[in-house]
Amino acid sequence: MIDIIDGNKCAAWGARRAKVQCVPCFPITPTTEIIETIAEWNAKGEFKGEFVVLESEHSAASACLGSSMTGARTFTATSSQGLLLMHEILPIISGCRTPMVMTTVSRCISAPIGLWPDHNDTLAMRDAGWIMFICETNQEVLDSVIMGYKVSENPKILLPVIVNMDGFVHSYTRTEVDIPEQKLVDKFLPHPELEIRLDVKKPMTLGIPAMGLDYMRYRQQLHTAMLDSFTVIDKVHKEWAKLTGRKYDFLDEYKVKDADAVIVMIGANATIARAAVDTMREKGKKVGLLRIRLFRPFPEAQLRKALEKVNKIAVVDQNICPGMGGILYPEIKMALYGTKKIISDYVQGLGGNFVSEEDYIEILNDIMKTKADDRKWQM
Amino acid sequence: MLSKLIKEKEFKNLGKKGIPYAVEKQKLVERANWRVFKPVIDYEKCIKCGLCWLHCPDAAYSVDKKGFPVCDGKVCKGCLLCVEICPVKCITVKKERG
Repeated sequence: MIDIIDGNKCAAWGARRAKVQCVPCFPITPTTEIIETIAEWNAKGEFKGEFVVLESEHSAASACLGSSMTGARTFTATSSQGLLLMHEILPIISGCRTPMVMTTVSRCISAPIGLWPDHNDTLAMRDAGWIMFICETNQEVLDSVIMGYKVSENPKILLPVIVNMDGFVHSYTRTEVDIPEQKLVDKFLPHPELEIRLDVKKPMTLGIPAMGLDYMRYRQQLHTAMLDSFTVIDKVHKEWAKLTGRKYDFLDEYKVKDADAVIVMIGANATIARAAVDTMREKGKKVGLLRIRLFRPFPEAQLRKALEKVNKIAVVDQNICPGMGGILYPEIKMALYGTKKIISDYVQGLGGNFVSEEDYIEILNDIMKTKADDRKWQM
Repeated sequence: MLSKLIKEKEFKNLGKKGIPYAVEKQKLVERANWRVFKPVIDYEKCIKCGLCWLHCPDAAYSVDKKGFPVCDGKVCKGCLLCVEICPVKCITVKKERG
């Protein structure tokens, strides 16, 4: 079914097609429409899951933990300060190894108060033990929510998934989206059978205390599951491509193979950067774009391979770690350590500050001139 | 403890063993070494109301055949909530160390 819908509706359709059983939530701009949509479907009887509105995001995340512990397929969505309030519960969800999917709609964090997107909120959840997909298009959001459940519920992985989109740029922008048929999704995503779950007939404790070396072993298992998820995600991507024809990968490479200079970035602005790359290519300049779609686990080996022959790399950060710089920059540098490439950081678009095609052309021209690693802001 | 260095590449996914869960009470962490005070029940005063069993945060209490509460010395961490909750004050506090 082809429809013209915005990113919020896409996330809601993803949850509906995945036949989610429980949606504990608390609305926040720019996520509100996801919750409104599910509430509307729930009232009409089109959505048969449990819809729970709580008094705060902290409670919503706690309810998600409880519901996913019982083996119910759980979905929630949040943004910005809401995500930060949820933060306490997120490592518990991943630590208890309970699968679920959460859509985060990126919005800059206070203070000063802003409503527009940057990635500081989502990237703050980097170390929470969640698998993180950062999307570029509305279609990708919808597909990632459905694929997210498949990855999350794999008995070897059992980790929660964040599907990130950019506030307003995705969440309130309508584009053409193919909503997959229910039969197709049912075939792709059967109902999960969790072996370890809370059940009144078989009482157990989930999330037991573990002191000393025991704690370290559980952490090691969490890390191992994260690393093992690469193969599972790859399989799920391929299976989805077979069913729908839409191909996804850990990295989204655009004209990278023969490029001299490449922009590395995440998020929705990649669409604008793509246009800049096309314009530069028309002028005969060899440039490319590499968008990181899977942020956690970090596809270090794939990134190294993709940028093997590229000498100049411009890391574009729509986020800021005060006192350190862009958050993506050190990760890219770590992955490319010892390769003698010139890697520069460009911080731009904070608080949803408008970024145009010309801005990316400026960055590409600048990186081609640069002779040593540098850190710059584009104001 | 002698330190052991293990390569990350050698880590194995242990499947459900990576989930922090416990089915039996024996698998709970033994907390006896956390304890400074221990609850001691006077069974002559006890009215078998079961409130100590209900309120114990670590499920250290069980009920015997006659209906009397029994505190498991291995699981009890000595929080003394049972002493506070007992309506007939039949649970006394015994200092174990310190």
